[in-house]
Amino acid sequence: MQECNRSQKIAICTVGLPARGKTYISRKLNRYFNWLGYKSRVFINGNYRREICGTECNSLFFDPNNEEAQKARSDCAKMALQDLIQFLKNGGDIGILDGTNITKERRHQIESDLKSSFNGIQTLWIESICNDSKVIQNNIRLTKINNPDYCNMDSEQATIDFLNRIKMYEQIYKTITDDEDLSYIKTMNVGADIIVHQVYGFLLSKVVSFIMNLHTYPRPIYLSRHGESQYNVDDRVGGDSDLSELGEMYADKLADFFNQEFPTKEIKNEIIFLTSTMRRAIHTSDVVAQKLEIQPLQLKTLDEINVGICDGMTYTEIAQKFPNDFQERKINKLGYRYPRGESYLDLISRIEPVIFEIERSRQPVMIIAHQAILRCLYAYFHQNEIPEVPTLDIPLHCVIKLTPAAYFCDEKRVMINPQTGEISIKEEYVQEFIRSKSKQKSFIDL
Amino acid sequence: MQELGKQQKMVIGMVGLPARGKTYISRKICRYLNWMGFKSKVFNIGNYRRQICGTDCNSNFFDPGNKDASKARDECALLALNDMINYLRNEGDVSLYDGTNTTKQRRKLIMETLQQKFSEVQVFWVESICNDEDVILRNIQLTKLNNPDYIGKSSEEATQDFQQRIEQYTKVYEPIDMDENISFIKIIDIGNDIMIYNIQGFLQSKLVSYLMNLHIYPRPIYLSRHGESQYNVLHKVGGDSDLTQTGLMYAKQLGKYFVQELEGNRNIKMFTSTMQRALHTSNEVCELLGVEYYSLKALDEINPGICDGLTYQQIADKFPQDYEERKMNKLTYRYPRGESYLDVISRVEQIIFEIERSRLPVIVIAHQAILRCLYAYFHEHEVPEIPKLNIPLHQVIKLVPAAYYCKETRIKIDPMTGNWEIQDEATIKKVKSFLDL
Repeated sequence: MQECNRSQKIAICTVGLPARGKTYISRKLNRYFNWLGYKSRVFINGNYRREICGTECNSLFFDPNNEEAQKARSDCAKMALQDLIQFLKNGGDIGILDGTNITKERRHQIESDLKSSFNGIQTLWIESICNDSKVIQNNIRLTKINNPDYCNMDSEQATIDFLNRIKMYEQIYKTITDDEDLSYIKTMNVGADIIVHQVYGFLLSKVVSFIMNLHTYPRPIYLSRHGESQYNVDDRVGGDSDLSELGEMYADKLADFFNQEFPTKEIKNEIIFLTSTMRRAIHTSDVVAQKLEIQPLQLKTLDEINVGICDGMTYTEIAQKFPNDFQERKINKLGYRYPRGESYLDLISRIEPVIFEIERSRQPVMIIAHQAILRCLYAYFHQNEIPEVPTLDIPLHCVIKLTPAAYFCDEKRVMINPQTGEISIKEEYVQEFIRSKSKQKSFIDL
Repeated sequence: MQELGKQQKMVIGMVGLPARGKTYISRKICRYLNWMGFKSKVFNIGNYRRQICGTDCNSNFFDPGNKDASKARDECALLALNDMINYLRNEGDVSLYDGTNTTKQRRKLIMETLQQKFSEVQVFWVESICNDEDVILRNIQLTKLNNPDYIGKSSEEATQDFQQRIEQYTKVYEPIDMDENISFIKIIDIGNDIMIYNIQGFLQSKLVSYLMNLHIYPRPIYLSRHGESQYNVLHKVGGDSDLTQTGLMYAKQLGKYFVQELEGNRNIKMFTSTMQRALHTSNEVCELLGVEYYSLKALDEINPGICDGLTYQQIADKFPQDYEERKMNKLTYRYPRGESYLDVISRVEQIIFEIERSRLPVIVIAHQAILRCLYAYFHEHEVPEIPKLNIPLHQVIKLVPAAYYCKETRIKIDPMTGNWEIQDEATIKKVKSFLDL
C-alpha cells in the first residue's frame, strides 16, 4: 500500500515537557515507518544540544531567563530542523523532530520554516501530556538516569537535577491550541485518551491508530519456529509437510519450557497464543496447547512465505530449473517475488495487522510460526534494518524471548536440544546496546 | 484476526442531536462489523417510537417539559434496550443503540441497566457533534424529509418542524463528559476533530481506525473484472494467464468508457492486482486516461491451492470430497494449500479502508472473488451470499454512496462493438415494519 501514498513529504514534530514519552513515541513511529518501507529518520533536539554544548549542562542551562543558554539551545534546534529539511530534500519520506517545542513561537517558527521549504508537505504535531507523577518518575528512572547528561552523577542527584529541569520548562509551557492552525494529536495517559485535530491522509491516520495502541507495559514476546519438518530434513522449500521425529521431540520440550515459564493457571490463561494454518506449526502448537491447557489462534496471516512455482523444490533444483530467478533472489532477496508467490516485502505487508495486535497487547504473546515470518516480526521489534530481514538468523529449535524496554528490546535466546531437553541461553541487554551505540562519534546519531 | 475480538459482546451507544449523522454512522459500523464476521444489528430508538407512539408526532412531542411524551419515549428506549440485550444473548456479537442519548441521566440509565442485566458486555459510545448549519440542513433534506414522520407534509413544513424538534433536544443536551467514566469517541464536524477516551480491546481499536476514515463526499466507486483471460475460455481456475483477443478489446473499450465517464478528470485512484490479466487490462485503461495505477498483491484472485490450473470438472473428478464440501459451504471452504472466501475478506480489508478514505473517484480492476467481497461490503449483502454474487466479465459496476445505501449502476460493455448497455437499480427498498428500517 505504501506506493499509493508516497506523494507528499511528511514532518512530524513532538511537543511536551521532559519525561513525557516524546522520544519513545518518535522512535516507535520511526521504527514503524521504516519497517513499512518508508525512508524515515528521527532528529533529536537533545542530541544536537549535547553534541554542541556538551553534556555538562545542569538544570540552570534550561532556565528561560538564561539568555546565553537560550540562544545556544535555539541554534541547536535550528540545526536539527535544517538537517530534517535536508533529509527530506535528499529522498527522505518522513522526518521526525523530537523536541519539547513547548512555546507557540517555537512551533509557529518550525511550521513556517517547513511549509516554506517545500511545495507540499504534510505536518503533524504530537503533544504528549502526562500529569501522573508516578509515570513521570518511572520515565525518568528508565531513560534519563542513563542519559549522557548524567554520567557523572549518582541517580539521586540526577533525578533531582532533572526534576528541576522540568520546572524550568513548566514556566513557559503552552499547550497546542486550535488557533495555532496546526494538525495535531494530543495523547494523554499513555495513549488512553487522544484528541485529533485536522489530521488527514493515509499515513497520518495510521499514526493515530498506532499511537492509540502503544503502551509501556513490559510484556514479553516469545517467537519460535515449528519443530523440524520433513521438508526441513529434505532441504525443500514450501510445502505443507508434517513434523519429523526430531520435530515432535522439540514440540514436547518446548511445551515443558513454556510450562515452566508460565507457572500459574492465571498467567497461562492470559497468554495470546498465535500460530499459522500449516501442519508443522499446528502440530507443534497443539503439543504446547495441551500441556498449558490453552488454545492457539490459527491465523493464515502467519503462514510461511508462498514460494509459488518453486514449491516443493530444493535450492539446488531451483538453481538448475530457474537459474535466472535463483540469481535474482541472491542479489535482492528482499524484493524478489517468487513467480506466483510472494516476496519478503509482501510478507511485511501481510503481517502488519499482527504487529499492531502485538503492540496493543498488554499480555504475554507467544507465536509459533515459520522462518520468513519470524524474520519479519523479529526485525520489527529488534529494530533491524529492513535489508537485513531476509538473512536474519532464526534457527530451528530455539525460542526467542523479546522484552520491550524503553527504547529497545531485551533479547534472550533459548536453544532447546530436542533430544535431551538441554537448554542453553544467550542474553543481550539494552544497556550493552546503548553503550555500544555511544561509542559512536557523535551524539546526533544516537 | 476476527477471533481476537470475539471474546466479549459489545454495545455501541450513539449520542448526538438529531441530523448529526448518528444513523449513518451506526449503519456504517454495522455494515463493517457484519462484513468482518461480527454479527451486528442496529436498534433505532426512533423506529420504536414510531411503532408505538405512531408517526403523527410534531415537535411538541419532543418537548422535555411534556411529561406524558417523555414517559412514552423513555419506555421506547428501554424496549429497544431489552431487544438489544436479547439479540446479544442469542446470536449477536455487537448491538448498536441508535438514539440521541443526549443527557447524562439517559446514558447513566443505560449503563446501569446493562450492568444489571448483562454485566459481561463492553460498552462503547460514539458521539457525533456538528455545528455547521449547512451540513445539518443538508442532512435534514437528504434523510428526514423522506422519513415516515413527515408523510403528507410539504418539505418546508417538515424542515421547520424538524428544526424545532432539534431545538427541543438542544435545550437538554449534555455532551459526553470524561467524568461519566465511559469509553467513547467524539467525532466533531465530520472528523475535523476527534476525541478518543479510554478505548479498550481489539474491536474498539479497530472501530476507531475505521471511523477516522469515514467522510460524506459522494465519490463514485467503479468495479470491473479484467478482460476475458485464456483460463476463462478454458474454464480453468487459478493460474496467471493473459488476456484473450476479446479480453484485450474489452480493456480498450473500458478505457474509452472511463475517458467519457470521468470527463478529463485525472484526479482518481486506480487499484489493480499483480496478476497479468488485471495488469494488462489496467495498462490499456491507464494509457487512455493518462493516470497511474497501484498494483496490490492484496487484490490477487483467491488462491485455489492444489486445484490451480484445473477445470471444475477435473476438480470434481480428482477431489470429489473437496468438490462436495465447497458446494455445501462455499464461504468457509479453504482450498488445500489455498484460501477461503473468509481469508479473502480478511485480505481485502485494507482495500476497503483505502476506498472509504478516498475522496477521489476510485477504480478497482480485479478478479471475481475479490470483487464479490468488495461489492458485498458496499452494497450491504449478507456475508453468506458473497460466493454467489453475480459479477460477470465485461461489465462495470458503478457504486455511488447515497445517504444510507449505495446507488448502483451496471454498464455492460461489448468488447467487439464498444456498445454500452446501462442498467440502473431501483434503490428504494420495501420494509415490512418500521423496526426493519
